[in-house]
Amino acid sequence: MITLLRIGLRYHKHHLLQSFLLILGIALGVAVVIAIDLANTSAKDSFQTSVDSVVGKATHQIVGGPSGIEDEFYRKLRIEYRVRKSAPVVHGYVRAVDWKRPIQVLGIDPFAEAPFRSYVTIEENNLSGGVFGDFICQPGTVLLGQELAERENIKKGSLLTLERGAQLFQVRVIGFISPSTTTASQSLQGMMIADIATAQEILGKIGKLSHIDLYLSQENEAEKIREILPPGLSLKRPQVRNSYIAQMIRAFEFNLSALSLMSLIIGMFLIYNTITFSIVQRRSVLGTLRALGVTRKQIFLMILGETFVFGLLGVIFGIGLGIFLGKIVLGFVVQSISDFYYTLTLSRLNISSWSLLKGTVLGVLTALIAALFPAYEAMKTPPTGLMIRSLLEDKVFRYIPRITLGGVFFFALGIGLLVMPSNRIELGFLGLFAIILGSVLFVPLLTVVCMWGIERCQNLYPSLFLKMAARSISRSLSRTTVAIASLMVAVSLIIGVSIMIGSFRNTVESWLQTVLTADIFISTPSETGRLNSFDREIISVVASVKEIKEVATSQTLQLETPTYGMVNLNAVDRDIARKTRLYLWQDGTHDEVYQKLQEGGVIVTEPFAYRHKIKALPGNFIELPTNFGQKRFPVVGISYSYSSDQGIVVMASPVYRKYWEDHRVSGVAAYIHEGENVSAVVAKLEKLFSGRYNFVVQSNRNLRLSALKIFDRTFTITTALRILVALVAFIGILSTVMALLLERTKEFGILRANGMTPGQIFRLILWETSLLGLIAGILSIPLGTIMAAILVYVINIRSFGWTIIFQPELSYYIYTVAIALGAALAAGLYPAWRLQKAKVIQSLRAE
Amino acid sequence: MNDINQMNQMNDTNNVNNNRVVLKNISKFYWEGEKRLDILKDIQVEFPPGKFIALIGKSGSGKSTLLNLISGIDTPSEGEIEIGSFSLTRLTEKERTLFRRNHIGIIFQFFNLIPTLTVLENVTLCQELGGYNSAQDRKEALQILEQVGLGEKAQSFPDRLSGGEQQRVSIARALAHKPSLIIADEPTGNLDVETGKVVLDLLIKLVRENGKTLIMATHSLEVLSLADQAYTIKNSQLAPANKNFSDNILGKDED
Amino acid sequence: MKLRTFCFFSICFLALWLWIFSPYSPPKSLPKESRISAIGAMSQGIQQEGFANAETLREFHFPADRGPHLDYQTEWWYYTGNLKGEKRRFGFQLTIFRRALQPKKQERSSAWGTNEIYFAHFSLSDIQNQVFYHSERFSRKGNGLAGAQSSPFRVWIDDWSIEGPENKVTLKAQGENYAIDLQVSPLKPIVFQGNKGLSQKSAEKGNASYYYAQTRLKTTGTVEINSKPIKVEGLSWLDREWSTSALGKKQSGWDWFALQLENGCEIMLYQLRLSGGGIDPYSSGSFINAKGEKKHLKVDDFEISVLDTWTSLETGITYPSGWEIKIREPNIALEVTPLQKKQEWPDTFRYWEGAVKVEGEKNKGYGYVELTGYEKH
Repeated sequence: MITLLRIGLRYHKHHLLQSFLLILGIALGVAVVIAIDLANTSAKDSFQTSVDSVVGKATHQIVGGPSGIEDEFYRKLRIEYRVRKSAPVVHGYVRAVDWKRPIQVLGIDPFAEAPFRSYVTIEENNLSGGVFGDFICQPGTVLLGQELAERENIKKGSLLTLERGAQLFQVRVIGFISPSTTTASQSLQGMMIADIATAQEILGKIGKLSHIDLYLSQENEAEKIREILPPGLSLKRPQVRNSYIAQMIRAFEFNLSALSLMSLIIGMFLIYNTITFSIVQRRSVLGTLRALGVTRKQIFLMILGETFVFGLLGVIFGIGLGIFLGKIVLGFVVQSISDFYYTLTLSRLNISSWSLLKGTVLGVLTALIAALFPAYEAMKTPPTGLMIRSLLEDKVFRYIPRITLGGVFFFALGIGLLVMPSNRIELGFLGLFAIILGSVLFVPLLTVVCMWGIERCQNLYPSLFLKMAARSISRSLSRTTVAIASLMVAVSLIIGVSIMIGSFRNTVESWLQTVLTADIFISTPSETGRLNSFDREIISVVASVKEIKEVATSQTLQLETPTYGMVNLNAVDRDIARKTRLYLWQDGTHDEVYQKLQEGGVIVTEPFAYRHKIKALPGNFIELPTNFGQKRFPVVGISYSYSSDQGIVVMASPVYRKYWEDHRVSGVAAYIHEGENVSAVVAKLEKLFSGRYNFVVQSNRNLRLSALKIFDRTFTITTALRILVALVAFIGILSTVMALLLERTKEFGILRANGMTPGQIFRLILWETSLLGLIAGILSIPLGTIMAAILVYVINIRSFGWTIIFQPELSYYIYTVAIALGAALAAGLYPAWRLQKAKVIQSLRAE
Repeated sequence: MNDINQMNQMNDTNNVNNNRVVLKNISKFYWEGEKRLDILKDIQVEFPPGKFIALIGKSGSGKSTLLNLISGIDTPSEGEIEIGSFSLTRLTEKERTLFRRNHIGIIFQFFNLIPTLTVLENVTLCQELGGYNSAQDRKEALQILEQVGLGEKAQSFPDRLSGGEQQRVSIARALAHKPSLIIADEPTGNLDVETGKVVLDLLIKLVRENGKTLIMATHSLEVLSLADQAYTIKNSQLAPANKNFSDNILGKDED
Repeated sequence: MKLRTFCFFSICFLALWLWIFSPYSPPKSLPKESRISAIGAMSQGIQQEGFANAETLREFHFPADRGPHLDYQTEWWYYTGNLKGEKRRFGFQLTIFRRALQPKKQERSSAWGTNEIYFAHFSLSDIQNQVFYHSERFSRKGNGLAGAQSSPFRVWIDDWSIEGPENKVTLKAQGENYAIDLQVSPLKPIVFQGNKGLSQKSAEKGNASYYYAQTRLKTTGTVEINSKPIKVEGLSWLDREWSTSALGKKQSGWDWFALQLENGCEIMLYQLRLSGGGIDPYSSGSFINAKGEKKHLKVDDFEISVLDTWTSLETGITYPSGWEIKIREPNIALEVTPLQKKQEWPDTFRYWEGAVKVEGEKNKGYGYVELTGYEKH
């Protein structure tokens, strides 16, 4: 077997370029999968670490509403109810102005900590010279992780400028913590630790706790605690809270993984092609081997063995490249998650061996699966080695009906999976893949039809080259269709994703126009797409500007609910989109809905309704935990909204303040008097705030632009992945075309001998490859559109729950068909150049 | 368009037909490291037009090389080749190709048909490459196919034909564009004796009928008797072969 | 392609699919619990500048002096006692310490802001079963979690508290499976130790504390062991002491005796040991007669010799365990024996504090002994 494998591999040594492309193809596919998986895992880990570090070993947590838990309740809990293993926690986010990123502040009471966050332990040897005393007694003192401090060059006693709710202030770093576990030191990369009193002061949560950690060993203890909880507070297991957040980002991550898998699938075509070529070229060697007594099984294993070696080599490069790409991808993933779901303060690539293993096995397996069919074919080489080429192709020809039937089957299966009433994203993707597979199986038939058509056209426009090109494509279907199929899938993916993103962007753009009706918007600076709260006093400052006619405020926040997980709540005191809000369903006219809102009704957004199956009918309620216990709110409208895929619950500010006793706001919108200049007012407001607050004042137009910027930022990875997928496809087509052409070196020699000039050779080859590209391009138009439709109507709805207006644009098609054509032409250039330059005599001597 | 112009130019100098093939001091050698390997050395010969010239020699003696030099597929290391008024060695690669397309018909030992073209398309290949694809051309090509006895297989693909049939297609292809010079490299070498004889007879008949020059490399004894002139290559040198002493020559070959 | 191959392909693909999207759960390894040692920080590197020192005689005022003295760094309310109930004997200790980390409290808007921490020790010696129950508490002052106030008098840490009027103070504390709920009433007037309440601990000026005691407190109430309440009565002793710097640099520890004799007298002795060996001349004591009159005892007035030792299995520290005490004037000779050997605090602070039996020719009684500084350095 080893000898056989050596014979096999020696062949590839003589076809280095092709082997290199094969390895590169596998490597790229694996790299993309690994990069995405690493980024996803790291983002999840980062999230997990930041949650773990806050949760620690708590078995339960007492949580309150948006305003938190009263200090007094903790005293009661500890002294009157004697719950000893309890620790108060105050946490929140501030912005580190110099680092331009959010940082978590974890406020703890060191005396209550012992059973919980062991890494926060302030070890004796970490403390000297009264650091502990300063930590407790001095306001504005914090501890930082050693690594973070070193990275940011923070010395003991350094002052850090922080910002919260538009206000700037400074804290003093009094010491460093270097925990023994990596998890803990990682979590400290995005965190500062403060005494609970300091944290309350920094975060503006005087008298409030974020939650109370509990360590309960028996479930009946939990029951007892539930009994004593006042309304508005609830007892939860931290895992449940984690799962809310994990749930939120699941669809996002899943979509990325699915896209990354696509690159591997396209890589699969490449592997299939390369291996097939190598087998065709070695027919006589394989025949000789068979004649010498090598069994069919051994031939089969030899081919798989070769492929395994290539797979492994590809994986080795792929891992390196994957880690490199992963670092880049992670930045975007973390940014997107922070924009839409949950503030992540860490973005360190956690090279999990699990991801690498997954990529390795996936890469090698994909290669082996792709090689199965060629290996099977090689196995059947007769001992004479003489297998008439046209017979082989005829076989493919004969199989066309069956292959096409298979295509029909998978296509139907795909449609079946897609129309199946379900909201599983997995099924959606499975359906998408089935449709792609089905379409791939249509390629042989369609190629033959196209070529037949081109030959017919001969009568109209006779061209030897066109005829020869068409002929050689349809006479070597077993190879060309694979090349066409892979290019088609890649190109349709580009079309599909482009249409989806384009439609989405247009939809969002027009939606933004309907919701952003005010002239000026004021919020706190944030590196993410989410807003921070600030104190109400700012409203009067804004309202005092004489150019401003009226102001509206809103408070957005996340509410943990037992029924719906994390709920984004948006409390508006004067619905700025009152007249223009687009409803999927509304209970009465715009004015009636507004009235009902004031009376305690809520508007939910489309994703929320989709997720929680709220029907477009009057009489629905949602239940939210308020400071006065669970309360039901009638749903008075379902509106379109694209700001959160988790959905938003909109309610009137007075209602919100009544139930949650939270008087902060996170955004102020201002309308100016007619005739006033918006940018002048913006400048005036900025001047008014300067020195005192660090608000971001944006005109309507700028806010729309920055919203779209976030949108584009979110799709950066998708766009980049699209390019990577195309790259894999390009390598595939390059390798295929090269093999296809180099295999025919002798044929070109004969043509040359019979009087074909080098220029004509060049033209012939380019005709051939551009035909390949053109077919792939044309076939990808319908498939791309179907894919876009699936992405918009199935995947998007199931993942994010929003309606996108499907808007295919001609330019996407022209652009992508041009890409297909260009890629194919480019792929033909090198072999064409090589073949036209080759000496006739050498070409003739080629095997 | 450029191609067509040049091709026309090649056609205009149509005085090749009655011109002879002249080889002046032709040498072909390769360097293997420091060592020079001579394939052909100082060959000086003239082949008169309209004749059947046979080249005999053992495998690897340089017969094929000589033929490749004459057809312009290969270029000599030294010396000059003239066909009619053309000095082949002074033409560029492209000009040689066009010359070949217009004036030379090639028959290979391994038939070398284009697998993706039908029999008829293979035969009309040269004309089509030259941009001539008239109904007349096709009719003539079909006639030639009839002559080689393959009229009804015109639409078949080459790999469906037997070896003899394929070689007959090659002959048709070599003749279809009416070249003045036919070069055949062991045309029967890959056929059984009987088929070989049929093919050979056909080839010689067609050549003589059309008054073409035929230069053929072979080791078939019967050819010797049919040829107008016979040469042998020994020690990289060309020497006239005595038809009567052919036994002698072949006897030495088998050493 | 054959149908079979197709099926194979599809299955492989499906398997891959399921695998790549299988939820990833990283192995969870939480760091092992390590002891918080904020407490450690208290015993070292604490600044003493800015605090008041016990340097001069002062007048004591009540009830103010029952409460905290914020100018001084350290202060304690120290109750020990011997109890009897259902024919069983118990010893108990309930001590609440106050310690300031920095001299001045900063202006803070958070209720949690403080400069003081509290800690407490609560032990119960079950003599019959020779079990020593003990637990400690630490807390910051702030948000009502711990504190001290003079009127109404209350000292507390979490749910442990010492509170009530002077004639009836209630002590409440519970550990994991034991608890006390006791009322203590003074049977004698307050004793001001040392020189009218200024107790010099070494030659250095300021190495002193203000120190008063209630040496005989009638005690009633319940102790609870494993949820079983037992009615008890007996005698307790209160030491109140506050200072900023009490021990001299050369002192390695002390032995402290508080003995209550059946004849109505009490003896308090402390012996400050020097690190090189020997006894510091500032060691002293007092003898309180049945009428409550105090006689100061200087270092030469008494002599303590060790009769026995005991080595702790938990900490490996060897403590004296059994003494002979001789006092010159009044002439008393006593033998003091622990009611049980195992009354050691093995936690954050390591010391021995336990109930003892007192036997002499004329005198019998019970008391409490504290032994510190026996760990090897």
